[in-house]
Amino acid sequence: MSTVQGKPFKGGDVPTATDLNQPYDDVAGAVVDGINTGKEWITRKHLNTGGTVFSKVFFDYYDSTTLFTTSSTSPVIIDNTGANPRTIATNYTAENDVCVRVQADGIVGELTSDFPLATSTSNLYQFDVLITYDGGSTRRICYGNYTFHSLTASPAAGTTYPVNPNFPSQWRNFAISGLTTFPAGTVIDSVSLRCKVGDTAAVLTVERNNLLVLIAEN
Amino acid sequence: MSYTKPYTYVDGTVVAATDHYSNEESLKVFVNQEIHVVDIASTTLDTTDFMEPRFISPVETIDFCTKTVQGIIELQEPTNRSYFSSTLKNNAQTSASLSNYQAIPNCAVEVIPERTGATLVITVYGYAVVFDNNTVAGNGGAGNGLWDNRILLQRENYPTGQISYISATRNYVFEGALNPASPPRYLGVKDPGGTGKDASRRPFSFTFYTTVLGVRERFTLVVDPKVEIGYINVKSFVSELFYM
Repeated sequence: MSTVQGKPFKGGDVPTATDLNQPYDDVAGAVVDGINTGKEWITRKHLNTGGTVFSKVFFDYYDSTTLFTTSSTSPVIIDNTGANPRTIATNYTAENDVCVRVQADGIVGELTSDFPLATSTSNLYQFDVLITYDGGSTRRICYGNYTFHSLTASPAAGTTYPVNPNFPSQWRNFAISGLTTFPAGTVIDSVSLRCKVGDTAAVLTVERNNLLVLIAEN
Repeated sequence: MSYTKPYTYVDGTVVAATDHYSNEESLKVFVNQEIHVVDIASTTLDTTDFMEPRFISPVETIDFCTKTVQGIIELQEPTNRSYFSSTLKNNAQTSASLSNYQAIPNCAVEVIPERTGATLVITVYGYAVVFDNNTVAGNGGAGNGLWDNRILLQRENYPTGQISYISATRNYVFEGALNPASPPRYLGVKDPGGTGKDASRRPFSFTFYTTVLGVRERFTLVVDPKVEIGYINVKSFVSELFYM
């Protein structure tokens, strides 16, 4: 409330109406600001859990055993059942400039590689996370490349020798994470977990998978 | 500002004690009970106004105003191994469905939230290594080189004692001795594909999310081993409890 004026009276003083009204009028006309508050006066108990948030967390997952299968060389959204795409409809409007953090993980299932490996990308599959915002703009926030086979030589076409021919590494974990920022007022529409392969002759399957989105306002 | 004084002093007008009292009383009530959001200036508060974070070193916890973070990180200590071993001898192991989960040492957090409904996010990373079961005559069991070992997160409710295993966090590491060209390729529930270190050296990472129950709970990394010797090292286990 900034400062509230007060007049110290002493014996024999005749206070005026202005003197007496002063402190009450000062309180009525001011607001609480930094000089009125002590250090660390805000504790967890003072914060309104029902108001605007400091952090907003979203999570979507699939933990059963139906495999998502793809041979697409363009990113496709993971959807194990055909009716459960790994997309979180955040529909969140940023109050302040925000930081968006994503974490995604899962395990791949049975794999089929394009063996003998025809091109330098034949041995690769990839996961990424895509954010859609402001009604249609997109931003790829993070990605990770994985290989069907462990290799004994460089992945040049025609000279690649997998450690275990015809037996790609299956039931292994994948995990990616990333950060990005958006200005205040941005509408973060959705976040999706996607995957693709490097060669249409390859088959990637995904079993359990998780997607976490954390929007930090403060 | 939502304060209005009840009585206005006027020069030449005798002040009644009740009038003066009403002004003082209303001011006291306002300052002590009635300051609301509209009475607080915008953009005037900064981080010094918030309670300082407290670091509670015995349980590796940092308590911020809006969230609590705790965790164990041993990324710089690759030789700090947390060993596990099947409780069933190799030569008696025949079932792929029997599970006996063991806690991984130094890879857990206890959460004692202030209220129900706070958001908990757990992020775990580790590197799992297993060694093939022995094949010495008399000790060798069924399917040497063919067993999988499941790693996942366990949730324990202290007041009720209830334990649950979170399937959304499962990962696998396998014995590596199988011969891919010679069936059977596996006796466990999964076929690792590759052999050797391809199967038996596996990094893993997962993120788990839940809302807490308002009671004391423990979240522990556990493994269901089917090998005589295995370990997890280079591990990171971090929990973030968001109150708002």
